[in-house]
Amino acid sequence: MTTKIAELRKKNKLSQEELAKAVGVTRQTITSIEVGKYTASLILAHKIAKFFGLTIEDVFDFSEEE
Amino acid sequence: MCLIFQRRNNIVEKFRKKLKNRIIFIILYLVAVIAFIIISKIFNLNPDGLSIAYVIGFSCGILGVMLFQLFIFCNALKDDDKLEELYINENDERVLQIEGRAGRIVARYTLLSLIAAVLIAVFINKTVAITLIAVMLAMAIFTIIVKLICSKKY
Repeated sequence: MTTKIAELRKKNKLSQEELAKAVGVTRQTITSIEVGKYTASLILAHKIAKFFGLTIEDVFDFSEEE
Repeated sequence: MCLIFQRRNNIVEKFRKKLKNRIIFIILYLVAVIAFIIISKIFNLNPDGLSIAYVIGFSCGILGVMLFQLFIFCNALKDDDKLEELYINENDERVLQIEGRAGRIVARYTLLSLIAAVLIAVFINKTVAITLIAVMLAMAIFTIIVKLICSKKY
């Protein structure tokens, strides 16, 4: 699964650490999600999307899973 | 956004209480170990054997780890940022998933190793073999019980 997190972070001038703290996970988790090694839970995906003011589908690309 | 922060604060406050309980437990353990050492010295329990020395040594080893944790917990309670960081580190969903998966793999390979050890020990020492079988059965039963509890819980 690919995500737009890195892109959105750069757009909002946010570091991984800042995003991680805002959504209540470690920096390593954000790194793993960005590189596609870890799939975020529904709750975390919702938190991330909400943080950027977007929907889950806007941040996460599920086309590969389908 | 305000609601999210309020919710986060509530969670961190709950975690603060949890840390305080852990600190109380560590202090109680410290008191128990000191009391045990004093009692064993006063009443000269097991004077020539190594049993008491083993128990004291093992307890002090655990106490060392606990005191290190106590230091971390006390620091976290003084600083809200550190408290939040500790909460995140303990409850990070990826870390919890890794622990769950690692636990399953470890349990599986430990059981397989025990089976191999039993098969070898049968030819060398029957007591060791029976002990290993007992450990293996205890582990298997424990795993089944935990799985049943978890399947009911989740």
